[in-house]
Amino acid sequence: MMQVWTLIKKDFLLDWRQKHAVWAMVLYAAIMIFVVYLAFLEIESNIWSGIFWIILLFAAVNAVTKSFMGESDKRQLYYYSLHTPTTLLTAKLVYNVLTMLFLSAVCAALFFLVFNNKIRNLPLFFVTLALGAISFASCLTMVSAITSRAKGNATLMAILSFPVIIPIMLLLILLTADAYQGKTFLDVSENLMILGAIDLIQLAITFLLFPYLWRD
Amino acid sequence: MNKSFKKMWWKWLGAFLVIATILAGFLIPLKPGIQSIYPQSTAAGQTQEFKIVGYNTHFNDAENNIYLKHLDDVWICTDLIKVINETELRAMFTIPSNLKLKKEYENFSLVINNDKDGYTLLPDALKIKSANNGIDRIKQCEPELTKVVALNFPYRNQLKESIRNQFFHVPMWFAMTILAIVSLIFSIKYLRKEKLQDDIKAVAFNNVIVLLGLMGLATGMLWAKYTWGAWWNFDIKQTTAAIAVMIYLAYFVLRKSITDMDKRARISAAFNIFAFVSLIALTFVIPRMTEASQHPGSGGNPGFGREDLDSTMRMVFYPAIIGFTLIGTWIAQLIGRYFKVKHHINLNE
Repeated sequence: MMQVWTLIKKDFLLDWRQKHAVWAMVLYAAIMIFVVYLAFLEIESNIWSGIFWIILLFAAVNAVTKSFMGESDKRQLYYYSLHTPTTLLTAKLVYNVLTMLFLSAVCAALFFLVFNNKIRNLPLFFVTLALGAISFASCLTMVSAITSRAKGNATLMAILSFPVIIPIMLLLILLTADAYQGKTFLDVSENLMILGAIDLIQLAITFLLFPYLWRD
Repeated sequence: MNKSFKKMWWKWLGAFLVIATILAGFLIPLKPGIQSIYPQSTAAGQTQEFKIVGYNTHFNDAENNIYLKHLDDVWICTDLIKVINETELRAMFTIPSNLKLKKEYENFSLVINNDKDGYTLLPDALKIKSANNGIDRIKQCEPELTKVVALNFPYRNQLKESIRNQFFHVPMWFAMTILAIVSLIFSIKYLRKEKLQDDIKAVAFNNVIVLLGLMGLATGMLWAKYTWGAWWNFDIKQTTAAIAVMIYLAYFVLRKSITDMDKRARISAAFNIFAFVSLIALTFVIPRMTEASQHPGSGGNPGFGREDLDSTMRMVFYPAIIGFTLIGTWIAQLIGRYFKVKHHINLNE
């Protein structure tokens, strides 16, 4: 547990010392939203949720990719001698979930700023946002680990992660559109449960598979 | 029985089933059916001539009886039938002036009884306007319905001959899903035992999965062009199927980018298992949630299995699934052997 905490703190410190990277992430999202605003000016519920999640997906791939690919081989060997794979994965996951929560909060705030807040069921929107952050983080962390092991670049990351993440994306877009139209939690409980189930299964498989990936 | 036959009986069975599917699927004719009726509405008390076009019918060869029916309460019979040719005729109906229906307009089905073809029915063929007062149970004549036992596929107005695609398009997806599970098992086996031959088998099966997936997409697009009007409709099942194929293509891209053999096997096995969750979500969960699918069985469309898949179709459909799965396994075995030989040659060099 202590080890997990230390690793998270280390990742945080790294990002804190290179604040430009964090700001670049925020700026990336802001520029994309601005481009979308210039292209559409006025958008409706379905398009709103679709564009929101696409922007967040690109920002997320950029942000999470570095979690494993940013580490050099020698440092990974150093981690290997110190930690169990589960510890390392937990630390990376928690840190990525936090990053994703931060990113989605920034994205949502910018969206509200640019397109006005017309979402009728805000609590549902925030729950969807949180679930989306968790599922993006868990899925992308695993794919980032695979990509870094394959010595791949950002292209490989995109090729591997996009098809795998699409079912989650579709669910999130549906749920966000529902929140936009003011549906209640009861109306969408089934979809929320399916999303949670996919999340849980993906997390479980990530924990099962990561030790195999980690060995070299 | 010699030994080699005992070992490869399933290949013979697979080849036989696929050939049988192709023969039966293309040669068994469609049931006679009714294509259209014109005009499509009339009113109580009117006498009107209707133009009726049939499909695969034999109006000239035998005696025809034509009825309009609503539930089992109202049966209206023809005054006069003029046969023009085997598939076209004119029928004169007099709608009783005392026909009082529950709603102002009610749908009537058209029933044609032919002594040679048996009876065929076009549901909701036309609308009849109710009279202001009268009775709602009228039987103008005693309907005679001939049952003819023959080997044929059901006639559906929207599908016509393209109903035969049911034996190719659907079994291909079934076979793909079954082989995806087999490939998953080999990937798990590789991670547990680290034997390279399990990896080779998983890759071979994934090759066949991509092949079956592309063929499933192609046959689906043909069917979509014919029944929905465009090659690609962005139907949710079309989209998810295309993404499923993309996952397997990504698997091959991943393999190409790793040079070390054992590392490649381990990482691609992990990806194969990880992507399987998305595959299941894509093929089974997502299409059921969205309502905008034109595929049968989703979004309020009738599913195959209840009335659309009659006993003759089942007789071809289920063996077709087994046939395509076995042929797929055979292809995978051949590809696997090729990879194995290539692997040994590479090692010796």
